Amino acid sequence: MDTLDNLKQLWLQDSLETNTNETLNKETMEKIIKPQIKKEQNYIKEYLLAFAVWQILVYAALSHFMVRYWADRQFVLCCAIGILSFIPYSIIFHRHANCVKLRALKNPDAPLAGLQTDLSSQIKQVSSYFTFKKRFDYIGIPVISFVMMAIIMKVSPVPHTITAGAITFGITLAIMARTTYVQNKNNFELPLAKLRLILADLTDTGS
Amino acid sequence: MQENIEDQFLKDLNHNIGIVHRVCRVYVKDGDERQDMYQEIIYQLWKSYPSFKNNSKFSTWMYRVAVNTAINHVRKSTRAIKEEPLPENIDKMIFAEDEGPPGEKLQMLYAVIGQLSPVDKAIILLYLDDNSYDQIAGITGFTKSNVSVRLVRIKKQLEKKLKNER
Repeated sequence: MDTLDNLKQLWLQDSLETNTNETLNKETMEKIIKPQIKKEQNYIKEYLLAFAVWQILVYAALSHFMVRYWADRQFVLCCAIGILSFIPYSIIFHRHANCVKLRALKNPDAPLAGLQTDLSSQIKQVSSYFTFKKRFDYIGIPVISFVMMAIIMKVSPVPHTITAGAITFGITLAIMARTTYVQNKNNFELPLAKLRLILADLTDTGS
Repeated sequence: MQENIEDQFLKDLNHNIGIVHRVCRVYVKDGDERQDMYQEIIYQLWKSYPSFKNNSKFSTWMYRVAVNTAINHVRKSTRAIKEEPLPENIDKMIFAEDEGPPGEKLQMLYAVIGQLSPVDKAIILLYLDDNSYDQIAGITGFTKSNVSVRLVRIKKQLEKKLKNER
């Protein structure tokens, strides 16, 4: 394609001009770098804060109910199950948060591995966490819904009947399942699909 | 970053700053978003520079970081990426030997490249910037033969896009 080769000459000529037309100095660099660092640090802070607040809320609420209704052994057992089922999630989430923190703050050579390697490692990291989260969701959502149902029944004026319990459990389960579905879709499935599409494009031999 | 390293970085960066502009121009059409991408690339380069070892040319390393950041930026971008129609008479503007100023021809070429996939954009950019097949392979992670095959396909794709407008 000769025409593209002609255009290449124009392109190269233009490239030469762009290379020599602009000079960045320390001041302009500072103006570019500082907001970027702040942006990245804010993102990490928000991520870790949200994680910490969510964990504290769950453990504090369950512990509070355990102490408050200590005499009711069945209810205490419910809260204990809630806490126990949350511990592995906290551990894995904590590891994942550390990975993100390390990647953003301590691993400046992350983009150097080459496009395919970098994308593959991103996909591996996100999908391994997502796989764990999905497994946790299958067990965790019904368990947490049950614990929430027990708490609602205990602290609110809902009549203590099997029907009321079943309805409360159903509503809690539906809300939890819907929220988790939307969260998984937006935070994991769609980003993973985009990453895989780019990787597929990269690994396509072009034939 | 230490002061002497920073000076060296600025020297290398200024010598190759056009790479950042071209990557941004190829990947983003919108001015504000292009500025965001430009700053993100500069930041990634600055952050990664202390780990740059002179195993490869600075420009090769710079392409790798810039293209990687651009692809990630496009992936993260919340703005919808829509395929915009090419301007009328684009074929005449690009292919006419003596007609039209060079700047206009280049603008049209960017418009056509803008319709390619993120990876194909990277390959054609590297080709137009006169990188060898070995260098393109090193930057993208493809084998040399894959680069060759893909380039033929991309060139055909570009030609087809132009013919469709006729």
